[in-house]
Amino acid sequence: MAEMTFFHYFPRDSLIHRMDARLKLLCMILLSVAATLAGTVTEFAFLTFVLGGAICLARLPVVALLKDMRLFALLILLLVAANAFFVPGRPLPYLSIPGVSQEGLVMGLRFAWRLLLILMVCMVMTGATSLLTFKNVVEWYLRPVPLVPAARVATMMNLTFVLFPVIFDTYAEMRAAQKARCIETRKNIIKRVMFTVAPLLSQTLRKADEIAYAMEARCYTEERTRAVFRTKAQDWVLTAVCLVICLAVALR
Amino acid sequence: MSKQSAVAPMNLRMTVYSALFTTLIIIGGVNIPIGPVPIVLADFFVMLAGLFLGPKWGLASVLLWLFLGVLGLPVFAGFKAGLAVLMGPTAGFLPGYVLMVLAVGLLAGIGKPSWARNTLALIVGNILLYPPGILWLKMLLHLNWPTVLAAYLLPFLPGTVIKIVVAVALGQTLLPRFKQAVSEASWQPANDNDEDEQ
Repeated sequence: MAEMTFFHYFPRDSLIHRMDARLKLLCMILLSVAATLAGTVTEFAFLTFVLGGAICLARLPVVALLKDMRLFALLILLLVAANAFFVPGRPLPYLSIPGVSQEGLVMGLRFAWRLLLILMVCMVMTGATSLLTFKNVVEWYLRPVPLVPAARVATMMNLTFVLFPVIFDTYAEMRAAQKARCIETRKNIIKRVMFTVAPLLSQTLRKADEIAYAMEARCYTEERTRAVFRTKAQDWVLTAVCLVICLAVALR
Repeated sequence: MSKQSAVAPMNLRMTVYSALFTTLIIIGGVNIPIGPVPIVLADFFVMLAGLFLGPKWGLASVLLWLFLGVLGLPVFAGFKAGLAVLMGPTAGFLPGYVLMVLAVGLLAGIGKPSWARNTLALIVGNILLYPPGILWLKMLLHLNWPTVLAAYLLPFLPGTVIKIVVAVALGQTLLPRFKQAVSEASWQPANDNDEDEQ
């Protein structure tokens, strides 16, 4: 998990890295809405082009990202296959595979492309914004909202990101240990789920505890110096472009 | 000042735990979507969040999950994200999750903990989860009652029963130690600490 470059931050000096993170977050929301609403091939292709451009503009390591995409390739293939087989409809026009429907295949491909677009949006955002900046931005947006402890929500969000690899690593470790003890040959589904979730929960809770102690030891407090943001003209231009893209897709 | 420092660590720990459950809910949502409503483990971890963290922190954990989704991160079932999900076919289940975690947290938290109480809390929670989701689906897809129930309730029931059984069993094995850990020292699993000490 740790060797994955997928949602890592890449320190660079690019237009997107320098962009005001508040507007960057806004752009991310707009583009992900556009990706979810897109329906036609033209829209999908256009958004892919825009996001591909953004990845190049942010000078992210394209080859490394594509290599990591292989992990998702299997998932995407499964997704397309599942839809093709389970959605009822007419058979394929040229080569007829029993069970595969035209509507299902189209739906599966659309689903997969949308997933790719959303992953690309996240790649640009996480690749060009450090986790700390992201946290500060969220805090900035939440501060005027009443009844919401902005600093705590932002911290919890960061903790969520930090805990992802922890949980995956724990799971892999635990699976290996169980394989060695032949637990996976059990047939009883409840026992199997139990043997998976109970140790996973117990181990991750202990790791969460370690994180809490580490934070305590470093005098974590919610009253910190507030981050300062600066907006430049080009940031507004980029935001306007994203807004236009989103509206164009939404109001087609 | 001394009062503050006595309260803060406990809050801090609950903050981390709560974030942990959010992560588990997100990971539980990863699967292959078939049809409009995918089968997920997310609801299982929402149940556990209510059971383990109680109503307040359980709610925080679920709301954080929804918030991350609104920001556009692919955290909902099948990597969906963004405001559009709040309009999509599964949108009705999202307020259902909030109701469920509240109900489970409140009911399991009153009085002396027992497996019967936990079971009851989880059943009530699941009863609250489905109506908003199914009503929304019915309205959005313009289906009649038998179709909606046959397609979106019945296939999930066996899974839900298994999830409740496992959640109750986990409540029996892990919950007492968890409660103790939260109230005093750190999390000490019964006998998997050996390798650390040697």
